[in-house]
Formats: sequence, C-alpha cells, structure tokens
Amino acid sequence: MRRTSRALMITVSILALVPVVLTILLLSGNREIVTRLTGLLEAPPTGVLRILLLALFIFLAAICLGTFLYAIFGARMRKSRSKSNEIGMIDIGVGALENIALNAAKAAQAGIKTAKARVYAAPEDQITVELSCVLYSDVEIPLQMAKIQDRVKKDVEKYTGIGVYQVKVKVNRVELIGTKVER
Amino acid sequence: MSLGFIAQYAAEAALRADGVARLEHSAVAAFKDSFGVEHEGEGVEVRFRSEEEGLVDITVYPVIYFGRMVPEVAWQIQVNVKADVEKYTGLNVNSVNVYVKDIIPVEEDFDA
Repeated sequence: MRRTSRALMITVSILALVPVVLTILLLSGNREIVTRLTGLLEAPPTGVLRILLLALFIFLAAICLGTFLYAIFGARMRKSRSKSNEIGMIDIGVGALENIALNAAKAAQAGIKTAKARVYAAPEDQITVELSCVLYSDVEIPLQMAKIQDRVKKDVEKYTGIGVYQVKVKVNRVELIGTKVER
Repeated sequence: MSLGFIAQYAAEAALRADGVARLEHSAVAAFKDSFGVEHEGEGVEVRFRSEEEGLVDITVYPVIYFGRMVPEVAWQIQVNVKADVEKYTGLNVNSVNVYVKDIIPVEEDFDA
C-alpha cells in the first residue's frame, strides 16, 4: 500500500512538472517550442505513433483517476464516528481511537517495544486498526501478535462501542533486549 | 450574558464527570493563547441559536482516561453540562455535543 502510493506520488509529481516546464518555456518566448506545438496541432501524428500516444495518455489519465480515488477513499479516516442521543452528539476523534488501540496493544504485554496505531474506515460503520510495531527479540511473533489482535479488538469495542472490522499488525523491527549488558 | 461565562460553567461541569482528564484547547484558543490573550472556558464552544433567544449549543472537547467506556463518560458529560448550565444561567440548552479529542493513560500514583 505504502509503496504503491509513493510510486503514484512520484509519477504524478513528474507529470505535473511537464506542463509547468512547457509553460515556462512558452512564457520565456521560445519560438521553436511554439512552432513545434502548433505544428503538432496542424498535422497530428498518424499510425503506430498515434496509437502509442493515445495509449500513453489514457494510461496517464487512469493514473490520475487512481490517485484521486486513493486520496479520497484510502486515506486515514478524518471524520470520526459519531452517535447522537437526545442531548447531543458524541464524537470520538481519530486521535482518541488510535490512542485506545495503542494503549490496548501495550497493555497486552506481548513484547511490544514501541508501536504506532492508525485507524481507517471500514464497511458498515466499522473501523480497521493498523498497528506497526517494534518488538523485543524473544517474542514468538505469530502467537503474540494473535494475542495483540484479540486484545486490541476487544478493548476498542468495549471502550468505544465501535465495531472493529480487522486488526492489522505490522512488525517493523525486532530489537535485542538488554543492549546495556556488556559482552 | 457573555459566552465565556457560560463556557466556564460548562467546563467545570464537564470536568466533574468521572474519567475526564482535562479539556483540550481548540485551535482558536491555542492561537489566542500564543498571543497572550486569555481564552475563557477552554475546551468548550458555545453557540447561540440565532433565531431564538436563550437557546444554546455547546460543544465540549474532553480528553478521557484510558480504560473508561468512552460513550458512558461522554453521556455523563452531556448530562452534567446540560443540568449545570440550565441551572446557573437559566438558558435552554439545545444540545451538548461531545468530541473526544484524545485518550491518555491513567497515572498510576494511587496504585503504588
């Protein structure tokens, strides 16, 4: 997910650069560029080149659309879940949700050194929790991570009343215990 | 009757609810604070309904301790704020919205 989004960002920024450079060249009064562009308009390329160019630009359009959709749907949840009763609304902010997940993960005592939590929207008013963590080296990862998932799901549901669709755990790094011990 | 005065009552009432650590400054309050202007009733937003006199909407931004049921604490805040503001100011509280800003772990001083 992260790698694809970064690739998309790079492509889009390069694509955005092209018209900017062209405009700068045009504004600087470069005759050659102007004549070339108008020439392109008067005699459009034919045959294979035309098909290739068409395919390229359709591809670019698809990338733009993809970025747009990703930015809208894939992003970190902004709007928090809210419930309302007869007095007013109760909103639980995204930061609060993330902190609940984080504290639950740490409270599970499954060898987490540091962790980061992210909350995303999921279907049916539920949320997806993503934890990325640094572990200690003596941890049986599958077992302990299952424990963490269970704990986070239960805690978030208990404390907020919001359903948890899934809990993703990413282990980034494993660190040695007792680095301060010599030899 | 100034808004800040209502907000102070609301803030006090909200802090009385069990499990509320503090109220979070809104961005506007933090901005004012950085210029040395004191913002009354921090963490609370009060709006008058323009059509009708004496109807207010209140939004509270609390920070709650970890380990509490968030909806229950929020409900407690709503009840407290509504009761207090209506009692002390005589205004009608149209709605009390609660926006939970953050969760912080409980300090373990009472345990040790």
